[in-house]
Amino acid sequence: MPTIAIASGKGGVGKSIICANLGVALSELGYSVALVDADIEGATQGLIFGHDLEDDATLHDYLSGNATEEEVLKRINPMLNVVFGSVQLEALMKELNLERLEKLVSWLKKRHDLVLIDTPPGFEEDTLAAIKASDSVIIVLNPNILSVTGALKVRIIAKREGKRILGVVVNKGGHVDDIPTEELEAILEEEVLAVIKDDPMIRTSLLEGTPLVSAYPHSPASQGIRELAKKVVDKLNRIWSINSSYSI
Amino acid sequence: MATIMVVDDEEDILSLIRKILTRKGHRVITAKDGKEALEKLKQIKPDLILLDIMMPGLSGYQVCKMIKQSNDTHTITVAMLTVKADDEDKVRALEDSGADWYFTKPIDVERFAKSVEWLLRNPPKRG
Repeated sequence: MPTIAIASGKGGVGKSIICANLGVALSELGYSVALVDADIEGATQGLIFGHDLEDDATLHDYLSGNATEEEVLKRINPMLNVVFGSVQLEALMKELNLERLEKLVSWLKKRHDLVLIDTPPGFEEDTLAAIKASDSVIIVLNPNILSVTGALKVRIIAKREGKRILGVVVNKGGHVDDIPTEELEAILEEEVLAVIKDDPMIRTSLLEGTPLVSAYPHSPASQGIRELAKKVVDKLNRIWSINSSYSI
Repeated sequence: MATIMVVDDEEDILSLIRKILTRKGHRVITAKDGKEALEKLKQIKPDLILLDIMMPGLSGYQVCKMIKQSNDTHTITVAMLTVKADDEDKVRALEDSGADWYFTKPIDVERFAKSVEWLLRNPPKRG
């Protein structure tokens, strides 16, 4: 079953929010989804899902060899499980074996229809580990030059690692003076899967600790993410013939 | 009507681009290399520069960087227009040289004309 790295190259484009909401939207379409917050130094999935980690085992515990796969997997709904990352400074101080990420992903793949990896921004070892652990990549960008450059760099790495790029998602888009979709497709040589509108409800849902598509299903960004989910399923079906399951 | 500078060492390209853009009502200035372009920029401030990369003398990367580092010219929109289609080349132009956009040859005439109008109307924001 396919694993998709959600990557951006540049930080602050809204990759983690897209990843979380895509996970929820895919699970609502009937696919069992595992989401791994592999943004080692900037884990935010706990915040997005409003999940208080307290003493819960995290990806950091797994990578440092202090937790099992079962211990780090948290059930969000019957079709969605998340492996959260730690936000504690001491978790970052532990010696993390990034090679264990691939082991975790292959365990998750056997138990889910789809695995999403929230990939760290930048181009360090942790980003590479997340891309290596995936089969395919979705690139998230904002409609500006620096973000396009970040997307090009992700493309370079993904191609070097032999990963299939499913397409790009334009986040915080929908303004009249944005870079047009056809220009982005021309420069990136990739399909724009969705343009997610700049939506104030994203911030509200973050403060409430509930993913946007669950909290405000009719907001413009939610609708964009649902369309994205359908497009992703359509693409994956053409490539891997995934079938939805109704229980994990 | 906008003023557009086209910098390319190939005469065929210069005349093709000139034809496309003058048909759209723009004023076109040409330069056959980076040196000539920089010299002309002392007199004229175009709205857009279309810049080849592989030219004799200064490369398009160098010329773009010089335009973007000069107080007199840094606000001019610069788009590369080149046969170099690798992602690495695009990153080098957009990030290291400060280009505002990147087109690869060969061009689709109608598509290219539309892209130029977009660049003149709404040059992309940097960040």
